[in-house]
Amino acid sequence: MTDTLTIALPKGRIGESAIKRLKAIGLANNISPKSRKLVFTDNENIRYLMVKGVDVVTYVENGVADVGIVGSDTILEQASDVYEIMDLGFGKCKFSIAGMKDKELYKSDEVIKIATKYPNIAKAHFKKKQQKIEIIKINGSVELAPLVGLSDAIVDIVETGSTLKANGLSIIEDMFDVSAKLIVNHTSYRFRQKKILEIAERMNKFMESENNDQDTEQQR
Amino acid sequence: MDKVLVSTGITHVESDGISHPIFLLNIKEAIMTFLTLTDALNYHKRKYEAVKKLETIVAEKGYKMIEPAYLEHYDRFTKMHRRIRKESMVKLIDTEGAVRILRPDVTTSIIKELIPKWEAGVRLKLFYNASVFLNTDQGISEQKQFGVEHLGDASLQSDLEMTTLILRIFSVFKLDFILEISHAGFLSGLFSDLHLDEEKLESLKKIIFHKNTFELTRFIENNPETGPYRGLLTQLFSLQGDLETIKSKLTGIDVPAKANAALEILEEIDSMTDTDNTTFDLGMIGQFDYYDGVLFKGYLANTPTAILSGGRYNTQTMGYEKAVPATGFSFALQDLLKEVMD
Repeated sequence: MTDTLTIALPKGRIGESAIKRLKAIGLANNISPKSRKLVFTDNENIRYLMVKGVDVVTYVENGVADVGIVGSDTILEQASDVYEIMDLGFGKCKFSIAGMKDKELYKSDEVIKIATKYPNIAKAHFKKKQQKIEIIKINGSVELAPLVGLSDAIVDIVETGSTLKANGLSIIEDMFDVSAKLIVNHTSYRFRQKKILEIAERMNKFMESENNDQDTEQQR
Repeated sequence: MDKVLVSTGITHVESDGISHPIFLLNIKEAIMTFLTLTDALNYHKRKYEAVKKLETIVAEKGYKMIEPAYLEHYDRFTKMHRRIRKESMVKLIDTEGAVRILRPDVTTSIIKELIPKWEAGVRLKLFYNASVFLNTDQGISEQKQFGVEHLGDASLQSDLEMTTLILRIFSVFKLDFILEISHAGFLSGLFSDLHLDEEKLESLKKIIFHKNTFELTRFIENNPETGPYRGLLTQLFSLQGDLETIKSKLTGIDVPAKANAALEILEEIDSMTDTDNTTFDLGMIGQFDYYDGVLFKGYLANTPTAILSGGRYNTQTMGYEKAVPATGFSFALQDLLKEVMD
């Protein structure tokens, strides 16, 4: 095993926030999120792989990356065996069920249709609620599904709720909170623990100072 | 020329417009392909030699070969192993409509076969080279395991023997390994003093299994019944490394008596094993709920998942109304061979 630590970062919003924070703690000095390059090596000899969000867990679980940064929605959907050692405090949103306003969702004697990008999370949730459902897996513009009669409701992550509102949908039920997590491969956790925990500690300190700044601002 | 096509690359397949990475690294022997007949035969020859070497190591210590049964009763198995995902079991239906499964675990098969015939005072040392089966996203996967079981001996001596046997296998094959040791009694001692209901306990176990610091903090906040052991729970993920460091972190923290007893056993093992490649982790949770003593997990530098797991499972045999102390471990044989044949 070489000494280079490899971190998988998701492209897109969470990835950009992650890079901002990595830069703040003195890492990832030469990554540019706008670049089309997929592999970067920084000043501390850490290698970064830019991958699709849903693939971060796969890269870490298979040990191609030692560490990954990814939203907890993705981790839950894939039910994977990785260590989830830290909550990074950004990328915060909610997992919610949404549908047309004023419509009763739960029907004990009917199968309801749920459109979602997250079939496993949706299945697990409704199983707990003992509601029979039919999953309609779609990959984008989930909000459209109830409008055009493709589904009764949707299960998706909700940030501000403005997309829902703009499409005449409202939240029926909040399921749980989502945020970005630092995940670690089991073998890497043993062989590269020192470096990994050191980075986590630096992140932690940065988050604390960030929170303190916010507190002082609020006091003003 | 040895050209075993065990690719370590990543390739992508498109489905539903999404690109899914496929890791050839992990795909098991069943679809391992060779360019020529010579390559195929060469692979099998070297595999045979490596397995023979393993068998020699354990046979020298008095272990005898056993061939476990392939089939299990679905109902009985799922009742005994609540944490194995039912979806991952490979089911078969017999002519009477009874559901059977291809064994997902070897130890259970051995116990089922031997314990009902058990005679008091017997000590058995067994080894096996057998497959377990599970359903995955990529179809049915056969995973070969090489393992040993030591039945009828509850002594610390037998825990030590397991530890040294593992270390010996790693050293004979000259592998870059880390052996992680714990004792299931540490966490179960803590759990029994927490008095949580079953649902909460399962969620706590899951949190610990994933070393999820954030959720653990939330769990402690939301469950006042953790009261006296908040300090211990808060520290839990830092209780790893060498035993001296762990003990120093525990000073001044309330530890349940049963957890302390487990810690003492680990101290004995630590004092009698002399290697830089072992580490302790009191937050280790075994893959199976049946473990109740010393626990092992082994990692190789270039293998993404644990290559070895095992431990003591004295109470497992109680399901057959006999109390037979037992311990054992198993290697993921394909992962081991991949390393030793490179």
